[in-house]
Amino acid sequence: MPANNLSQPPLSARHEGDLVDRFVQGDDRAAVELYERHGNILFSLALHIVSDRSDAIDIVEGVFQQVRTGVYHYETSLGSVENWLLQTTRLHAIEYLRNRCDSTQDSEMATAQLPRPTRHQKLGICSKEEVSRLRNLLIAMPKLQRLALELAYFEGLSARQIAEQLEHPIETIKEKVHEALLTLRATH
Amino acid sequence: MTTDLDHEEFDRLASLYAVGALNASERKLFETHLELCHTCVGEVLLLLPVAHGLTRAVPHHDAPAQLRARVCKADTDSPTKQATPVKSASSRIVFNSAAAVCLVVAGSLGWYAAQQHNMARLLEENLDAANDRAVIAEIQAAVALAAQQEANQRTEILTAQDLIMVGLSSYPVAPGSRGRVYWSNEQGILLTASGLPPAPVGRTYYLWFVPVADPVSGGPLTLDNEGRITAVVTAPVGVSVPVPMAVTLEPDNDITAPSGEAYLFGRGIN
Repeated sequence: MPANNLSQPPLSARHEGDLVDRFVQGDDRAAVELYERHGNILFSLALHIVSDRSDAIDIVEGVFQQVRTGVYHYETSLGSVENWLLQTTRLHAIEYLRNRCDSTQDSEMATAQLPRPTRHQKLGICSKEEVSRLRNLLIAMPKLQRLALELAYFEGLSARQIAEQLEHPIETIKEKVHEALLTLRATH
Repeated sequence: MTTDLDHEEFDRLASLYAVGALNASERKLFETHLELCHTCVGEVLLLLPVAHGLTRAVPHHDAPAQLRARVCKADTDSPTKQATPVKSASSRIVFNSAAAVCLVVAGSLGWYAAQQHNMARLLEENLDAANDRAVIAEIQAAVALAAQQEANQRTEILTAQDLIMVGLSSYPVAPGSRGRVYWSNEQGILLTASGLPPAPVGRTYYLWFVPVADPVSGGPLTLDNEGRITAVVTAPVGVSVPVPMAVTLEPDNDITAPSGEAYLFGRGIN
């Protein structure tokens, strides 16, 4: 099993789409290839969000199942398959967290939905160097900025919910998320 | 503009939008704003790769063998579907709320094309497919052409790898105005501006590049009814970013040097 998906040779968007199509049609080899390309990174993301290996396994398995049964449809305009799977996994994991907290009726809850990329080739950080730079920037980031960003992105909290949790004014939280993203934009 | 929020607030909302941290009502408000504000569309497009990159910045863990077995076994356990031809992923028409979000972003870049796309989709649903394939094909071709003409160039610029943004500040003559230049040496230059007063009869806004030598015209600019400009312009030969840029109000006739009042000005960044 590859240690990291970055070690896999990239597929063209068309071949990625074909791979998903074959997976949906029940092609066993496509299932293995799709998993080996993306399984590790999806599991890492799910584990980061829910902090429980067993739950993370359930979440990633659920994502693959829902793709296979056609609940989620992939089309190349949505971006790379990996970005699409990552976003699907993120949403599943956030939903999982919300069910744990039974807070799904909160009108203040963030939608957690991200805008869809319009041109996938240029909307994903792909190289090891870029990922490494992004991690370093996150590590070096002021604590409040990083916390606000991570609560927003990985836990699907709205600015108001983050403000309550961190006991800071909502305007401060909005500003911190904004500053954090501007800092990370330096990776591009 | 559809709300009383000042634009700095929208800058912050753009960040929250890019990480999915707006609640439903805030999201609706911001997406309404996106339909009108190309500056914010550009901002979101710049922030999106950052947001997407966060998913890759998490600590790496090898997935347990158990997961692989469950994913691959789940597939082999299920009845293998016959190889019924399905539409390729790229041609499949999917329309759900999330795709509508996509259209807000893409549509703001070319709302006309997006509206046409929606219209084509609705028509496709309602027409008898067997009898009207030719009609649908014509519509799709028209949609593709409209999209190409209306949005592609701007999208190319806004998503260019070498994109550089230059903010344009207002002068006292129009303190509420603002602008931004999106400069890609590969794809071209997009100017967006808002809050400019209507040009008096016989006068036109012009863009100027101001290198060390004399200012060079970037051509006349068309202001819409809301005081906005969205224009793709071509850099004059020999002019490259960073270069100061200005928007001035000039006589209508073809001019070669600025003589009117400046409304916006920005310095290129190093």
